Amino acid sequence: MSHAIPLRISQLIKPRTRLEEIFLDILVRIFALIPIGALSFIMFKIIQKGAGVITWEFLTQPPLDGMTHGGIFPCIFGTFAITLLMILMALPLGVAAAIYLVEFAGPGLFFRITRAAVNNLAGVPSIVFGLFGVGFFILFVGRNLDKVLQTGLLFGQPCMLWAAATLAVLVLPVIIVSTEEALNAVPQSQRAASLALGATKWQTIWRVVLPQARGGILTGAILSISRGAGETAPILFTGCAYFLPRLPVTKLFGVIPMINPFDQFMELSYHIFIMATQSLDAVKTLPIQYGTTLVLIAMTFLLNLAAISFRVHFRKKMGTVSV
Amino acid sequence: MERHFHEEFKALREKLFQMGLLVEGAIEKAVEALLKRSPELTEQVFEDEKLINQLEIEIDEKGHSLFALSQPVASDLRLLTMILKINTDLERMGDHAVNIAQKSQVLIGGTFLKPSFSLEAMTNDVQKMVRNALDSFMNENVDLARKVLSSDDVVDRYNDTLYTDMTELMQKDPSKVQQALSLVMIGHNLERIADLANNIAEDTIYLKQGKEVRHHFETT
Amino acid sequence: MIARTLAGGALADLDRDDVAQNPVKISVHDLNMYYGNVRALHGITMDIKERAVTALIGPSGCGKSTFLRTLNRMNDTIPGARIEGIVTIDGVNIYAPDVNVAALRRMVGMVFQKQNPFPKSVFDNVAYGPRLHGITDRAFLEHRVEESLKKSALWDEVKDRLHTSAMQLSGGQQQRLCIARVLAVNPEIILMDEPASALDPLSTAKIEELIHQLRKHYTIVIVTHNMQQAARVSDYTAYFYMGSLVEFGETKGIFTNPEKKETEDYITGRFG
Repeated sequence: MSHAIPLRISQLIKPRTRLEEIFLDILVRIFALIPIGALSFIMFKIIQKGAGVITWEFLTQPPLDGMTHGGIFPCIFGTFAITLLMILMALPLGVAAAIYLVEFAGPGLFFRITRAAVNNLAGVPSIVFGLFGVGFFILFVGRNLDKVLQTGLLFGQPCMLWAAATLAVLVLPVIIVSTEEALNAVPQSQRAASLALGATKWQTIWRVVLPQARGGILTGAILSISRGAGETAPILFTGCAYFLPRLPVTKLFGVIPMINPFDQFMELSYHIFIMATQSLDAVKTLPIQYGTTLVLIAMTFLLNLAAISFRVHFRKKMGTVSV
Repeated sequence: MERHFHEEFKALREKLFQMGLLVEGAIEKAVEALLKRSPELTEQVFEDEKLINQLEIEIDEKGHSLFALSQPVASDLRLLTMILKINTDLERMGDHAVNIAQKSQVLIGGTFLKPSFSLEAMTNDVQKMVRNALDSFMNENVDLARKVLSSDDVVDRYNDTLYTDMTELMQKDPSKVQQALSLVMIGHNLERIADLANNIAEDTIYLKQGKEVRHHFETT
Repeated sequence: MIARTLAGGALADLDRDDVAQNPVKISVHDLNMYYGNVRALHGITMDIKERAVTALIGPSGCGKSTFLRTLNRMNDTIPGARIEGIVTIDGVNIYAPDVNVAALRRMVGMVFQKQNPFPKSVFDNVAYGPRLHGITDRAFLEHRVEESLKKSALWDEVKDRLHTSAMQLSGGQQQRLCIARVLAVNPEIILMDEPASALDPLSTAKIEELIHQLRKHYTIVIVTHNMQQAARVSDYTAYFYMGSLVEFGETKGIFTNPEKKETEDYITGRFG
C-alpha cells in the first residue's frame, strides 16, 4: 500500500461527451412519449366526439331507424352477459389447470407439453378462435349434442353459450398464467408450515395457498374480462347478432328472469364494427360509433382500474408477504 | 433477561459456599483440637478434608462443563472463573487445616506449650477473615472484602510475634524445639490461610468491579 | 443474604435434570436416505430420549436437516426422495405403509428456519391446526390458543392484539408464534430446523429459554449451525458429517471431552 501511486479523486471520474449525453437523453424521452402521445390522442378524439352523444337515452334505448338513432342498451347488456358467462366458464377451468401445473405436475414431459400449449394458445390470432368456435363448438359439439339429446337445432347454432365458450378459450391462457404466477408467489415455506401441522395437500391448497393467491387470481380474472369484453373476432360467427329486436333473456321455470344462453345477442365491439363497415349510412352513424367506443373503452378502463385496486388491496391485506 | 444457565451458576456458587463452610469448620476444629487436647477433633478434620477434596473435584468438573455449555461472557465469565479459583483456594485451605491438625496431634502428645500470645485469638482472626471473604463473595459485598484485605496485617503481626517468641524459646530450651517448631508451623499455616482468604476478597472486588486489586494493597 | 448453615447430608446435585433415565422416544435404525441416486444419509442409528433436547450439529450439507425431516416425513414432499431403514416412534415404524402421514405430523410438529406465519391474524395462525382437524367450537379454540401462546411465552405480548395480522409481529415474536402454532395441535415431539438462525441475539436467547422450558413436556430435536446454541440448550448432541452420524452422546461429554477426533476438530473450529 505504501508504494501505491496517489490517485486524485477527480481522475476516477470518466470524462463524458456532453453533447452525446444530451442527445441520447432527449431521444429516449421521445420514445417514451410515443405511447403516451398515441393514447392521449385516441382518448382525446374519442372523448371529444363521443362525450356529447352519451345521454341517458343513449345508454338505455335500443338502436332505432337503421342504427342512425337510438341507443346501445342491447349491446351493453350483451357485453355484460357474455363476459359473465365467459368468466363463469374460464375461471374454474383456468384456476384448476393452474393448480394442477403448480401444485401437482412434476417436471415431466406432460407438464412441458401443457405449458407449451398454454403459451401457444395465448399467441393464436383471435379470428382463429372465432373459426374454432364455429367448427368445434357449434358444428361438432352442438350438432352432436342435438343428435344425442334429440333437441332439434338448439345447440347446433350460433348463440351466446358458444360465443362465451369461445371467448373463454381465448382468455384461458391469461387466467392460467396469472393464476400460476399467483400460486408461485405463495412461498413454499407456507405450504411446508401447513403440511407440517398435519394438513393434507388439498387442505393446504384450500386453506393456505388459494387465500393468499386470491388477489392475483382475481386480478387475472378481471384482466381477462377486460380482454374478452373488447374482442370482436371470436364472436363474429359464434353468436353475435347484427341487430336483435329483443334482449337475450328468458324466464327460468317461467318466473325467474335470466340470461338466455341459447339466444343470440348484440355486443359493443361488434356493434362498432358493423356500424363502421356495414351500416346503410356510415356518416350518419359516426357520432353513435364514437359514443359506443367511448362506452366500451370506459368499461375496459374501469375493469382495469378494479384489477389494480384489487391487487393493492390484497397486497395490503397480506401484510409483509408480497403477492 | 435471566438465562437458564444462570440458575446453574447460582447453584454452583452455593455449592462453593457449602465447601467454604466445611473449610471454616475444619480450621476451627484443627486449632480447637490443640486447645482442647482432643484427638477426635483432629480425626474430624481429616474426614472433612476428604469431603472438601471431593467437592473440589465436583465443582471443578461442573465449572468446566458450564464453561463449555454456556459460554459465559462479562460478569458471568468473571463469576465462573472466580468460582474455579476460589474452589482451588478453599481446597488449599483445607490442606492447611490438615497440616494444623497433624501438628496438633504432635502437640497433644507432649507437654502443652502455651505460646506467648493467644493462639485462639489468631485463629479467631483467621477464621473471621475466611468467613468474611466467603460472605463478601457470596453477597458480592466489596466493603466486606476490603475489610478482609485490611485485617491481613494483623494476622501477619501475630505470626511474626509467634516466630520471634518461638525462636527465643528454642534458644533457651532446646528440649522444646520439636513443640516450638510445630507451633511455628501452625502459625505459618494459619498465615497461609489468611493469604488465601485475601485472594478470595481480591477476587470478589474484581468480580464486582472488574478492577484489578491483586498483588498490591488497595489505596482507595 | 445466604444463611450460613451447612445443608445437611449429601450436597444437592447440580446437574441439569437427569434425562438419562428417560425412555427412548424415537429409535432410528440403519437409516439410509437417497435423493435420486445420491445417498444423503448413511446408515444412521440412534435413540432419541423422551422429554430431552437432542441437538444435531455439523457443517452445511452434512445431512442433519435431511435427517430431521425424515422424522416427520417432510422428505416425502421432495420428488425422488427414498428411504431405507427403520424409524420408530413409541415403537411404531413411521414408514410402515399404513401410517397416516397427516396424523404423524400432528404428533411430530416442526418449526422452520425462517419464521413462516400465515398472513392471517395471530389467533387464526394458532387455531389453524385445531381447525384443520375439524374443531370449530369457539370457546375450545380460544382456550387452546391462549394455552399455546402461554406455553410459547408470547401471550403477554400479543393478548391485546390476537386479531391483528401476525405479519405485524417482530421476527422473534413470529417464530414464537410458529412454535405456539405447533403446540396447538398437541404434538409429543417438536422438530426445530435452525429456529433462531434468522433472529437477533435477544430473540435467539428467548427462543433458547423457551426450548429449555418446553423440554420438560416435549421431546425436542433441534438442528443448529450454532454450536454454542447446541451446547446451551441440548441434553444430547449428535455430530453429523457427510451424511453419517460421527458421534452421539450427552452434550456435556461432547463439548468437554468428545470421543472422536473429527468431533473435537469440528467443535473447536479446527475443521477442514
